Amino acid sequence: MSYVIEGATGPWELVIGLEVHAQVVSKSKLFSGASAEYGAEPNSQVSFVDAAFPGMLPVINAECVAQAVRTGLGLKAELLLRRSARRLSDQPVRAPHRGKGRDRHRA
Amino acid sequence: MTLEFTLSGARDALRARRISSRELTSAHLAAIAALEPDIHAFITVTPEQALAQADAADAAIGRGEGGPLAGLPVAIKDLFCTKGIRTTAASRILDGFVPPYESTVTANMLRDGAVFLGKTNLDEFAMGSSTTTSAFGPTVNPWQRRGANAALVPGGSSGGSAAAVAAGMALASTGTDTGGSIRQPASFCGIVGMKPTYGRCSRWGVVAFASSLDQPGPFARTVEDTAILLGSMAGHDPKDSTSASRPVPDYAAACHRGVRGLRIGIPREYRADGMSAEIEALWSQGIAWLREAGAEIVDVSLPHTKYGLATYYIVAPAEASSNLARYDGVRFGLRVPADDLTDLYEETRAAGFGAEVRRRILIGTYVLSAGYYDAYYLKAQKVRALLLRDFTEAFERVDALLTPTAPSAAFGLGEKSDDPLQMYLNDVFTVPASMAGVPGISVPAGLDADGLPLGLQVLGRHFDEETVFAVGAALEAAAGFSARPAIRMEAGR
Repeated sequence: MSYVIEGATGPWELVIGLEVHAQVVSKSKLFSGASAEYGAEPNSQVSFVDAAFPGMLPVINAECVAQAVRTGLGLKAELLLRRSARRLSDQPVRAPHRGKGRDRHRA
Repeated sequence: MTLEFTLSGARDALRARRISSRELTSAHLAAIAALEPDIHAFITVTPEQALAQADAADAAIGRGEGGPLAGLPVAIKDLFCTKGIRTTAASRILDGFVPPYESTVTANMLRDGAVFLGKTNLDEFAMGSSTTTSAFGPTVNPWQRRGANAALVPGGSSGGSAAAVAAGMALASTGTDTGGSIRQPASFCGIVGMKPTYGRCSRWGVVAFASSLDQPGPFARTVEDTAILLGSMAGHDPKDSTSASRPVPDYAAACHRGVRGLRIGIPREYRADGMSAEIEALWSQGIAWLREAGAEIVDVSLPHTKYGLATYYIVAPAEASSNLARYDGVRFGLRVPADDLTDLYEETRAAGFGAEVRRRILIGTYVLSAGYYDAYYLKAQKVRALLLRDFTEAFERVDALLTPTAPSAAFGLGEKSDDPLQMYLNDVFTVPASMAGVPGISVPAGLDADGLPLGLQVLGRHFDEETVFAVGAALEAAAGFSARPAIRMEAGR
């Protein structure tokens, strides 16, 4: 089904997408073993991975992935897992965001 | 005579109590003290730690214990984080950084009883082919041209590790290989260097350059010695999601398999335009040696080889620009004080990174930026898939490939340094295997007209290091390479 409106230069098809962000429920962070519990003292739940120490590698939290997959299957959706390579404004090298939409490459 | 030991020979002598680890370690520390002014292979030497580890190893051997590397003095590329020992990546930006953790690879070696002599020099962040971009000054190759004493580069980026082993300052050492950083310096320094399959050794605790390419591996003076060291370095690590969950075979045993019945591919595209007659002759010699040892020689094609370098120099800087974003002066390493946060970032990075690192951050940021991403990075990823397919198809027909390691012998210190493109061409024979993730070894096979060592490279299937070691050992046996560098520790010197 499509919804078309007539514009001055021709017909325009209206396409609406929803971007839904949901917080997963997990004991530890998405890419490190540090606690994700709310209300702790500042800087008390930071691992060497979170602080991006040299040589540290992220390991994805399997429970978070399982929740995302279950949600997707429940919605009868197609699942795509993508790595974000976006640069954020608080990073030192301020390059333009890549990609066409600003959230296009988010996992 | 202690410095003429191989790793396996020293291990046997230690077990038979013909020598103690303290004697062996002291002899190597003396060699370092004597040769460092000429070679500068090390950024940090750790004699107290080495002697303490040696004494612990002697005690363990005395009790009939002691792991596979017990009491063996080795050197560690200063890209591996070592707990409590300064780790620099040869960059000013890590000024004062002392890791509170031990990399998985070095932890595996310590578990097996190794003695660490110190941290070796490298190109800054492993970016280079000559060990001249180090913030701590260049390493000099222990080899010299016949009748000349001009300083030559040891290759790179693991040039300090290669030079230390070549000169007798360590029995073996660790390196990392992103586009040839183990194999090319092994060739330049007349020793053996092995890059395992991507995922064979954990990258946890290794300062990252290009994460989809970086792979730790061993240097030593014999093929078997690299096999022994890899057996200790390798293994699954849950802290590195790309590390392979498969058992570590007996690599040293594989060195004695021989090559009878193996099919060895000769990739025709590696006969690059302008290949020197000496390299071509060495390659032909290597083919003849393997044929005489019972292997079948097969002509194969890796049609996308010519795109290897161009693709690598998009993918590697892209990943580097992302990996090096963390060095901002806030949490560790160098900090240049400034009035606001942006100035702090910018002034710290301007002061902390050398010219080659800056060049690669710029290239990487460019190829990842909006409008250029599809044209460069995305296209490079597609070509990388074709490079991998070349190898996959070739390995359906052959068990291993034989090529030269590098297009030349070691060049002079200062040559090529003002021309990055000339420098990048050093990696032309090593980069395709890095892009495909397959294992490779460089074995010293002969000397050029100036008396400098030249290596041959053997490449194998993913996780078939055993065949690579078998073919490498066959080349080693046939070549009988016995030349030694001009600058080295003589027995009794």
